[in-house]
Amino acid sequence: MKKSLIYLPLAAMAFAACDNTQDLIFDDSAAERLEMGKSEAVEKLTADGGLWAMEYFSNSDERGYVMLCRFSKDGSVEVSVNHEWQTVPYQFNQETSLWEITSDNGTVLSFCSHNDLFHVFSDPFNITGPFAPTNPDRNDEDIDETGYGHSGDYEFQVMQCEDHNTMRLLGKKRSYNIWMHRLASDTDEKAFLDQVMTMTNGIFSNKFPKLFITDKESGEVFVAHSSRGIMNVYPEAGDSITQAREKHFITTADGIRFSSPFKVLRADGSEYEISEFAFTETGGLVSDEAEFSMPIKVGYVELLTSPAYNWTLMPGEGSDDFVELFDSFVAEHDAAYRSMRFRSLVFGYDSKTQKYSMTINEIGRHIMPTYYRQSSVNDGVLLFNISKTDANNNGLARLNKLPALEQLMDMFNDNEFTITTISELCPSELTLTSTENPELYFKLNLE
Amino acid sequence: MNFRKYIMLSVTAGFLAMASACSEDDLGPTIFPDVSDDADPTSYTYKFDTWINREYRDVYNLDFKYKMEDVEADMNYNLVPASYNNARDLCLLTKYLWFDAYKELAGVDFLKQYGPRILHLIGSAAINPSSGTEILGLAEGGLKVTLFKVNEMDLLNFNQLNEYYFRTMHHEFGHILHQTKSYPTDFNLLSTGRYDDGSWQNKAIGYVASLGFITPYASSQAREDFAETIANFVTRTDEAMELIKWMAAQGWSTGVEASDDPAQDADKPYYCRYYYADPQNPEDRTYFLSSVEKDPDYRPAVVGMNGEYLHSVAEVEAYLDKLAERYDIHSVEDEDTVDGLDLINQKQQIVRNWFKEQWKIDFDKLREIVQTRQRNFDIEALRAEIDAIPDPVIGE
Repeated sequence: MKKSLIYLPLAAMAFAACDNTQDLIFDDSAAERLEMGKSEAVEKLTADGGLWAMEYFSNSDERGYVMLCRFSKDGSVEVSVNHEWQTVPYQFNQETSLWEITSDNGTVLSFCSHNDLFHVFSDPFNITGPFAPTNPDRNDEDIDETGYGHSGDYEFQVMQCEDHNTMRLLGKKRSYNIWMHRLASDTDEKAFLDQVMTMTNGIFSNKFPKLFITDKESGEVFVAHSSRGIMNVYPEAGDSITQAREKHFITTADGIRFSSPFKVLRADGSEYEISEFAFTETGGLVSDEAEFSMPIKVGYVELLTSPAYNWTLMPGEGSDDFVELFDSFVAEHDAAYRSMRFRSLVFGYDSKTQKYSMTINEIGRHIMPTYYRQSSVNDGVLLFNISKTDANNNGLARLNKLPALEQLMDMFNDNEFTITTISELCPSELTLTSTENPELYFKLNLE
Repeated sequence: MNFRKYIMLSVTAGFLAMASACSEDDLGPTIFPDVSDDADPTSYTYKFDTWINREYRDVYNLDFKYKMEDVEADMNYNLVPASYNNARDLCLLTKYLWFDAYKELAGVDFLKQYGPRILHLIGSAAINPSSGTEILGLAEGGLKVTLFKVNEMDLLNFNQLNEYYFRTMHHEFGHILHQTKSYPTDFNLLSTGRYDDGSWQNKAIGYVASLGFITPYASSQAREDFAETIANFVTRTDEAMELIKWMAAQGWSTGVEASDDPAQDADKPYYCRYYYADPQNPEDRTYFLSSVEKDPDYRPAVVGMNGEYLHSVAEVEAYLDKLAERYDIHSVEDEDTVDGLDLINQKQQIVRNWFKEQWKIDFDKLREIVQTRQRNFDIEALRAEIDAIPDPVIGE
């Protein structure tokens, strides 16, 4: 009886072997799934016109670049760029090359034939030209990148992303996250890239190198420097060397995005992460974690009463009434002073007299006519208060000879002006509008 | 064994048979997707792909990879793909100057049997940042040849084509051949002790020629010496070969005392002539006439005292004759105890015999065919072969 018990497991094994209902982990074979992944990637890339904005990072020492890629089903891709790594920097250019989806490392997008505009980030040559990296410790001598170049990827693993209009790629060698966002097929590539460049140039400027970031959670304020796409951040009261963290980022049409979450070090040693900032309507930057601001927090009018900045008024930049008045002054000036023609009107600060000034910038090497002003700010409104008597000799001479100049100065002095700008972080262009007559306005540009 | 045990064993065997018999024997559908081998008629590259299939795959069972696959390359290098147009042109030239040359000489079956199975094009050179050297070609396992630097190809510059591409393809095929049938070990013995794998790139062609090497790279290793001997003999023009052999017959000196480190001496320029600036002072020698493997026009050259590039023996002799009117010119004593010219000729003879005995190929005839083809290729006519491929029929 006991011996017969050994047959029970055998019997169980025999019948269990007939059970073919075991669940499979995958419905299809590995080869079929790879082919399916390739097909899905091709379909997604080429759908709806196949135009994508690629947010590309090549290495950790330079900013990211937006490039547009139009993928066609025939295996060609048209790449559009306006980056600086071309024969003519920042020029809009397009070039067609080949792409394919392979499966050598999961599903892989490969830009498999050389495209001068795209593979410039992967070519292993020494980087040359006006934007080539230099080493400040060795008198800014050229850094030899031969064998490396920008070290950028041109093959990317296609990562799973359910959103039909978004694709996440992972650089095959450098492992940077490269995001692609679908654009409408009829998007004007040049206009799109021009807009991104405008945002790139307009959001940060070496004229305003120091900005503030406020940590929303702790309220702590950090100093931020953003040089050529690399942000350097440290606590306002902290050490700019030991507590500084830096990260490269890309400016897109919607804001800025770091190559990976930026861990900012608080004064108490804790950290918080920022992945991206979105543009506000006024040209600011804000995220769920933090917010950018200018060092001058009370308003832009202070910029006009700051000794650090000179503002230029060029002919033709204002409302019709203003332009008419200004043009008549310029015509009168140039008729009276043919060898010292008018160039611009400059509002600045005269360090010799330590007074705010308005200077007529003329052609020639003489003392420029200058009028001193006692500009003031009340409730965010600017009063020019330009003196007609407190001026240098040339200034008084012009005033005596040019009635239109007196009319122009009266216009400045008789109005109060509010100040607006298109970018609150980089207000290099200001619009001054009369509070009494909103139809009267003019523009000032930072020198 | 009693009867009861027989019954038990039978029952056991029965269960085991049932267990195995229950598995299904019917084959399911293939797990591999049904993919056509033909070129995709909707593809941007349909005509080129069809031409490659017809001329390489169907004839030589060769996969011509012009779209770079990084898994086929060394991932330690930063490499980029070849541009489509350059890849197409080099693909055409490879067939015309290499495959068709051997076909003309040895018949189509030769390369069917011994040719590589994969040709892979890469746009950039494989640059080694530490040594500054560039890999222009690779041959692996007798099966795969990789050609680099395709994006720099200049069809209007024959010397550049010869330097970077024609010579490289014959060099790499030399490797493929000796990876299939070994070359005589006598070859290795000719320059034993003079190979320098570490600093060959710093040596001038004149200096290494006088040691018996056809190029500086030939002085790196014996097997590279062998492949260089093949490639240079086949692709170099008569003028260039004569000049290199002239260099091989000269004595060369840095003009300064040798240091203890031969690798450092390799960096110094070597000269083959000198004169006495002050005839009264025999110690005051002024050395001149150096050499470069490739001048700005990608040609081997002897370099005059004011940087003049002299590309033939006749030019060198005329230059020296003219200088002799002003100076008392002397040749540098050949003190290396090596007859470089004789060694180069011996190496060429070994290669000649090896081709004849192992491959039934006339090495001189091969050179003649390649030289003729190099001088006379018409890239437009070659491109027309691709253009002549009928347009695809889509939708049937």
